[in-house]
Amino acid sequence: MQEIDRSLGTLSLEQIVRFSGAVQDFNPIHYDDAFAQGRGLARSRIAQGPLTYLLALDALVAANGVARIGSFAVAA
Amino acid sequence: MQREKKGQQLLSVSLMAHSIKLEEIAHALGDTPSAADTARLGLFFGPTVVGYRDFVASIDTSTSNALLGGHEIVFARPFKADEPVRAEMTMVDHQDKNGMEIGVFETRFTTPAGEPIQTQRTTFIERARKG
Repeated sequence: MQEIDRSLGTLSLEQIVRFSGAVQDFNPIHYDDAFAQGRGLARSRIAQGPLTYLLALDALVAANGVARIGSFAVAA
Repeated sequence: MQREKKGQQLLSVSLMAHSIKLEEIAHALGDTPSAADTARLGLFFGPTVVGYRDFVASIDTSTSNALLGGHEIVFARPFKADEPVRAEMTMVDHQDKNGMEIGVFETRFTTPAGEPIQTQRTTFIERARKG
């Protein structure tokens, strides 16, 4: 499998909210800056972990094709 | 996190791989040329397959203290649009380490006949609660 060096760019609030709707994850930490800061996050809201890893997986699928993806792992 | 639930099945549910949900995931990925295929691999996130509130309640965790520490997926095949799916989630490990709780959850996705589709292993890390 080829090595990929690709920037995933900046996640938009629209992407985060779309993903919240798709997976029914309406935790305000993902879209409400004031709520996120009140929970100790330094700057602002954070995207859902699954959305972040799906973007990385999407880069792999784009480079290799879905049939060649046998497993996938991410670690924080 | 409830350590006594280690080894227990926390969830067994019937789902549908709805085509509209596949499209919603693809849109959230930004509609890249590969997004539709990626959505068929990542349609469900095991621990929150029936909503994050139910997962949080099932293990008595804290959404403000718990972090996603890792996630692994082994694919047998992508999900097919509008196919019925079974999901079973088990807490397969729990450890206390340096004031943190580490829980590992395995979610197996199969067809109703038991054909494997994918298996996910998800690690959450939670700061120990005061008091």
